[in-house]
Amino acid sequence: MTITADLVGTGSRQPSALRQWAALTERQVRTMVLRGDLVISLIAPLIFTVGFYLPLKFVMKLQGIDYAQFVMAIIVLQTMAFTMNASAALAALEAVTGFTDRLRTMPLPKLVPLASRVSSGLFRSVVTLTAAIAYGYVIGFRLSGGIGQTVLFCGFALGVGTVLSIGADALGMLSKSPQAVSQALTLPTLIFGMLSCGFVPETGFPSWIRPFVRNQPVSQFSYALRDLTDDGVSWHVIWPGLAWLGGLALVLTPLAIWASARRE
Amino acid sequence: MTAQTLEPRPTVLQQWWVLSTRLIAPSFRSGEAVTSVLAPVVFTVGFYTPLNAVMSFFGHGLSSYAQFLMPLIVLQALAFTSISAAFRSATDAVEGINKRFGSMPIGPLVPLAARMTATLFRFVVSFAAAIVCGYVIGFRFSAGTLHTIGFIAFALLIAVALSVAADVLGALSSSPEATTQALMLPQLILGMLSVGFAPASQFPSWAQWFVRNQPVSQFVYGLRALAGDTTGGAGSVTWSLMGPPLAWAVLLIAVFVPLSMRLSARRP
Repeated sequence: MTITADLVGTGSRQPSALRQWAALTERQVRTMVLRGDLVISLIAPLIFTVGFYLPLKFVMKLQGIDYAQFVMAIIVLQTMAFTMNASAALAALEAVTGFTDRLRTMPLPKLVPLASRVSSGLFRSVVTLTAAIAYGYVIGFRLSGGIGQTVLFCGFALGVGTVLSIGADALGMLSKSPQAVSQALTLPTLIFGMLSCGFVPETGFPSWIRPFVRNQPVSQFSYALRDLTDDGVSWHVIWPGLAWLGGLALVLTPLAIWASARRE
Repeated sequence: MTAQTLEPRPTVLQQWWVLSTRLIAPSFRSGEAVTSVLAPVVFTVGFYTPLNAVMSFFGHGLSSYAQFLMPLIVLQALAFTSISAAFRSATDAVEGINKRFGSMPIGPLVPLAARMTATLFRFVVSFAAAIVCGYVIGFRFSAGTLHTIGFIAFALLIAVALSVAADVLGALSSSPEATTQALMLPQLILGMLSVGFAPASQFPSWAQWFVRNQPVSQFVYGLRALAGDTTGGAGSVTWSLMGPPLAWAVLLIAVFVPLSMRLSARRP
């Protein structure tokens, strides 16, 4: 009787949700660093920059477009999509290896594992966005809208990255196959990226597809990001991108919470 | 002392067949077969739609941009499929399946042959889908039956080279997910910085040498010549044109097959 009482009495208190979140996030970031994932996050934007800029620089110059300034938005969005892919793979891996099930049996708030995965994804996004901007500066891209707009540019890009990562997390948790989810996300990323106004101006597309190209989320995100790099922000340019971002967040966040918290 | 009826040990061919079907059958359930068809559709729509007007306006030297782009669509579809091969190989290595096979009375090359067969099956599906997509946008084989057969054979040779290389890279990897992500980057950079998208003359002068001579560009030159063109701008099928792409494919096979054999033959 006394032994039980002693054990209960001297038992260390359950760590707060914040400490649990910090521990899980640290574990994921450490794994990211040790496994070389962070190196890939630094190389990816370089490859997007070189791969998108060089083939079309000459053609766009003849059309009077400063292509470094034009293409930077899609480079940033592609790096965010790359982070989304990694988030999906991580969620699927944790589901398939049984790590998620193990966490569910522990005294852990339901949303802590999801929050930690989103946080580690955000860390990766910050690293890859910093690299993308650095490479952009090498090819001639400039953030010429002042400190405020630069902060907004980074905030908007990271917002897109986070919302996409949340959606990808849900997909990864539901799929339980890192390979299937990675391949499933690669194709939409490519189609939405290529059929957007981030890569080629709207006039470069056939007239029948222009309404889709103009109004799809990646185009609206690229318009917003492009606007934030120049002097003065136009609300009518920014709001459709923000609306898409808000709409996606409203749909994907509950889905991710449900996928993360559900019992098998 | 009753006589035991021992089952005869299955032949190498039977072992290969069982292991191949083990890899092919799930691809219909997991949707990988569908992805093999979807990938070339996405590449065709994604590359052709935005670039057709731009590239046709500034010139590419062929009768249509569809004719110009087709080899790259085929190569991207094959590369996309080879990433699956790398993942499968990495998974087998990480989960200890290779070690398990190593302790069983299975020929050392049977698991590799089975993985190659499964990959080639997906390659054939993806290649067929790519050709259909090409025909939809206006690509045509215009160099005769023999050259068309040559196009298919050369694409298959490239497929073998890519699948063996991917299999080795997967087997050496400690993380299937990292392998998938890492292999997508070379696919992107070599695809974009090739003559498959735009003529070499449209690249900065300092990059043109690399663009012209890297393997994807050489494969594009070879496939383009074999497909032919009504303008005659696709190049003629000569040793000087076909030599480098064939050399690249053979070199990949020559380097990675022995490596793969060593990895497969290793006993735990």
